[in-house]
Amino acid sequence: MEQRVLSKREFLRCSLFGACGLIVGSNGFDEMIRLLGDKGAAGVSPEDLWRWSKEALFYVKTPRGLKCLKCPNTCVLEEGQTGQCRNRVNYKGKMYSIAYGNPCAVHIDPIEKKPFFHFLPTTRAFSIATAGCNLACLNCQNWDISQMSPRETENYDLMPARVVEECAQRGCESIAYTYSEPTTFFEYTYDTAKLARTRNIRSVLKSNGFINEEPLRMLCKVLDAANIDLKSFDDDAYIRLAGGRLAPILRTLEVLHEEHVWLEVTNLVVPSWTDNLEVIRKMCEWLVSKGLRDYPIHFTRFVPQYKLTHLPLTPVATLEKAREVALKAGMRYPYLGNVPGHWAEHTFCHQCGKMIIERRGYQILTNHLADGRCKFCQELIPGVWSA
Amino acid sequence: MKDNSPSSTTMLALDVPHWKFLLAVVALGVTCIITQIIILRESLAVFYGNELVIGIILGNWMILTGIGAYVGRFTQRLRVRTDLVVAGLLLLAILPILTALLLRVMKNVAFPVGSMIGIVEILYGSFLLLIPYCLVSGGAFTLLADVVSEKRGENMITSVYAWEAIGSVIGGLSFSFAAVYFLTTFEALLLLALFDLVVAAVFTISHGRGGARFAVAFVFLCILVLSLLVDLDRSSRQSLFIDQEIVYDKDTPYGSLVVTTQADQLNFYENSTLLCSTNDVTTSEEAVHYAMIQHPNPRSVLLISGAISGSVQEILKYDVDRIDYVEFNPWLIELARKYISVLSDDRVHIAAQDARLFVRQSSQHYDVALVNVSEPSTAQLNRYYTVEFFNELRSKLNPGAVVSLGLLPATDYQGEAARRVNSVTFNTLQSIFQNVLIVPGLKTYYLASDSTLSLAIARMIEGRGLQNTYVNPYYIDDRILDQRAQLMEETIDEEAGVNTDFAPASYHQYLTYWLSLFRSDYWVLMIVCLIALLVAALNVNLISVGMFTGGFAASSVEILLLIAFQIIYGYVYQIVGIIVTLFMAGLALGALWSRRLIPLPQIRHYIVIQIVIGVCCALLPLWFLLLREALPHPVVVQGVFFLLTVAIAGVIGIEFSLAARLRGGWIAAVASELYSIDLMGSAIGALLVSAYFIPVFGIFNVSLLVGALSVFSGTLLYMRRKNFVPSGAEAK
Repeated sequence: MEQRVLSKREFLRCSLFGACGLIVGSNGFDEMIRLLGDKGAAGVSPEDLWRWSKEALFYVKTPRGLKCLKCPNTCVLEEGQTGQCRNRVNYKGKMYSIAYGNPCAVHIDPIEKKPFFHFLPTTRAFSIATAGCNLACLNCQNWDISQMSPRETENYDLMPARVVEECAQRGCESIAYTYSEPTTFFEYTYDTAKLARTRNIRSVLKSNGFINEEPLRMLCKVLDAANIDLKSFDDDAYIRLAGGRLAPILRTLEVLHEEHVWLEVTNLVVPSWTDNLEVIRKMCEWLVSKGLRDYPIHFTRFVPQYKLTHLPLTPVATLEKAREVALKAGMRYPYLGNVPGHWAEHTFCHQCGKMIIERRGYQILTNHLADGRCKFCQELIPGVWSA
Repeated sequence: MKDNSPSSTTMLALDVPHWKFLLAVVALGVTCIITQIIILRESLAVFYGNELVIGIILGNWMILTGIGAYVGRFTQRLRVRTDLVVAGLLLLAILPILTALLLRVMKNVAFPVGSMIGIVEILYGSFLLLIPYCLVSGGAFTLLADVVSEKRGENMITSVYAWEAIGSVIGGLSFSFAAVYFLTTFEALLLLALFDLVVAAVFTISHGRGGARFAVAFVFLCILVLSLLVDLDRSSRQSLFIDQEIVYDKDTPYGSLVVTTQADQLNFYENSTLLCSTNDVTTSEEAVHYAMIQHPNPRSVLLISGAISGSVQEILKYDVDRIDYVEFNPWLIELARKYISVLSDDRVHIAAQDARLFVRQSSQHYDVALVNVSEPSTAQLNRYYTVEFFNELRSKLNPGAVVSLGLLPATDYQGEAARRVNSVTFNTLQSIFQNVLIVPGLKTYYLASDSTLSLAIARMIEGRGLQNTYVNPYYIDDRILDQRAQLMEETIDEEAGVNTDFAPASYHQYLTYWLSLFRSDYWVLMIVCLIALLVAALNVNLISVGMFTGGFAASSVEILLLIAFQIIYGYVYQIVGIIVTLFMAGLALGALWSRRLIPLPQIRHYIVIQIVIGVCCALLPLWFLLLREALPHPVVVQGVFFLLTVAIAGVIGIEFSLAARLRGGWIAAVASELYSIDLMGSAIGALLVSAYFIPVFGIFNVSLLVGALSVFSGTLLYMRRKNFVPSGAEAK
């Protein structure tokens, strides 16, 4: 049989073509780009589970791997794999959180910034966050934290006890678990909040509410207040805008109410996405039907962020209409957010309609509350007004 | 001529006069350049306006045109090639309109509404979109080169290349200096379509078959009806601004400007990115008061861009004597005048000029300078963030003056890419001014001054009695501001270096930051290009390697000249257009003149010309430095740049001509190969140079690199010259 001899050049060419073909074929071109560029995998090698880890709660072993039960993503992780939130990892057959005691963002903020308008007004919150989130909102304000793994951020070393100590030293009335998604650093949040209770420090959560019921109920035992982002009452918008689902968030609101955690709701009104007044009306009617009408709802103005930059700011008139819709539906305390100087920052008594708190930014100019009641008509105003 | 072309076995084209084919070649050049300019501008408006996007679009454009040119060789085997020319012209008439329409309409259909598209999606999306037009235009070049050569009985590739370049010059000139001011995108494309149809009609009038004439008439009627019945511009643009009503819409030479209304609010967009909305006190107050309050008595203020977001009203809260508002886009000024009434205040003086030029020429001195330009996402915008600019600015400041610059959104944590952007900006300011302060508002602001600066902003505002809605003690807590500012300053890396005109570090870091939004690595695209290069390099002969480096040098030098001109002189749209046009003209002249200069081409001529190109490129930094240091009269600067452009382009045009004449073989095959290799080189040059080499290595090093590449290929050819056997090319 005749042997065909390849020249060196032909051999090199064939090999190169072959290699390129393999790569492109097996991964797909875009996957290759993402794989080469994506720093989000951040898997853990068996050798280096770091000191900011703790065995995770809420997981179960299955034949396919470890199944995380903390949030509706229900990731199934094989050995060395990290969950979608980038905070949980399968290490030698156990699930660990790698976001424990290592916040990347630590600040002191006015509590109104979270926003909380009916919870310890004018106090300051010692605010912490680790990297990671279980959603991927196109307009995330803190994408630099939320869409990263704790292994990619520069972190502080701040174990729960030290968080409580720092908070106390700085004279803050509460610890806020915020910026990214505190339910993804669940164990850290829980342990810190539990310790904080012993020092009479409150714990407040700023969350997307995308968490399963069991872990949520556990967290509620040590939580004092929560502000939940109810992004839309349209499941389709939730999927396309955030990569989440509506139903679990609605259940979260119900559970927080059942567990007597003070609740405030934020609805970011995004033009062309979540500014449909009919949908807002249905949302408010649902809230009222579930006994949540006493909790403040903050209709917040959208500002172009992250990947959603080809949209305008929300017109103030749209926000005002949303507020009217909420009042009509029976919500008692609708506010406008991100509109400095707007009169809808003030608190009006749901009974007599008079202005009881004149609020400007993070300061209260006049306060007509006495023992949590309207001074004008003595109606009890829902909220946690003092420590 | 040794006829080794298979065309002798096909039926000869009907006896169409030679000049009609040349007319078709010129039409091809005109259509290509205008379509390229328009599609590029539309892409920037729909996707994002930075060099990476420009590089990708141009890269895809050239790769696809190259593939089209390669495939065009198979038209040799076809009969009735005149009909094919007519078909090509008809497609060239329709496809640009369709492409532009799809680009606008599909954006919010294929991608989430209002979202910024990632780099991988831009790569795919633009590739798919450009397939129809680019394949046709590439194939048309090869077809025409072959047909014209067949008609003349000799290798006419050089002439066709030159005439196509002439067409590009005509098209480029008429668009850049006339059409762009008066015509909208679709008006220009419809006019272009009519032009192509006229050329098609010229073909079919005396020589066409019945079917061809009917097709021309039919397409003509369709286009006429379309232009009369539908406002293509407005209706397609509306699909980019869902739920908003467009009240103003203009394709300016600097980008698209759109104003929409939604509820009670006006929104101003530049290239689909929101500039500002009305009732946005946070933005307008932050941009002004953080800086203005630092000065005890600001009388004279320089405002570079930003009037549209309400800055002037805020400045007028202070007891100022003069505000100089500088904006290089005159249409933005027109918008500002229309919607911002305070611009008619006597104290406001408006200059429609590049701010660098204005600052150099101005005799005014200022107490506060507010730099409100867009982020350094292009080499052009980078010029407002450099050591040289701040130096020039400083020379026009009064003692105790304050400069303000706003950049990235101030988040609760700055990632690595954001830190580098912040560090370079901070270091650059620190190298010129004694004090630099970071103010982490909703945007990160940098204040710079030779006097002391303070973060007690709320206290100072209250002390001065200013009635602000946002920048006041109710919303700003000075202690918290101070804490956040300290944390940000701790992340500043002194080793990150400074940003200069010729080594644009801010541009580089900002590109990296932008890519990090999509979790794309900066270097991946480059690696892909290099793999493609390697694959191509193994496959071609030495003449074509020279052609590749020639194409690479052509686009690289054009970019280098354009950027250097803007740095040394300033940004003037018309002059940029002249440089681009002169480049095409130089190519054409070189290609045509080479036959007279070198009547008997040999391999040694080809080697020499590549070395000459290399040396010319390597010498560019000397010219740039000379011009920058000597700072001669502006007319001299322009003249030198024009001459440099024509000279280098001319040499590259000679190279192409030599390559075509040395290569020999089937005309169609030669034309397609050389054209596509030239385009591949240009594509990779455009992308690599503008998006990678310039930001990372700086202008001077890139000039040397490009020169070295040409010298390298010339040297390679010299070493292998004995292997070269002329393959029976004609003697002319």
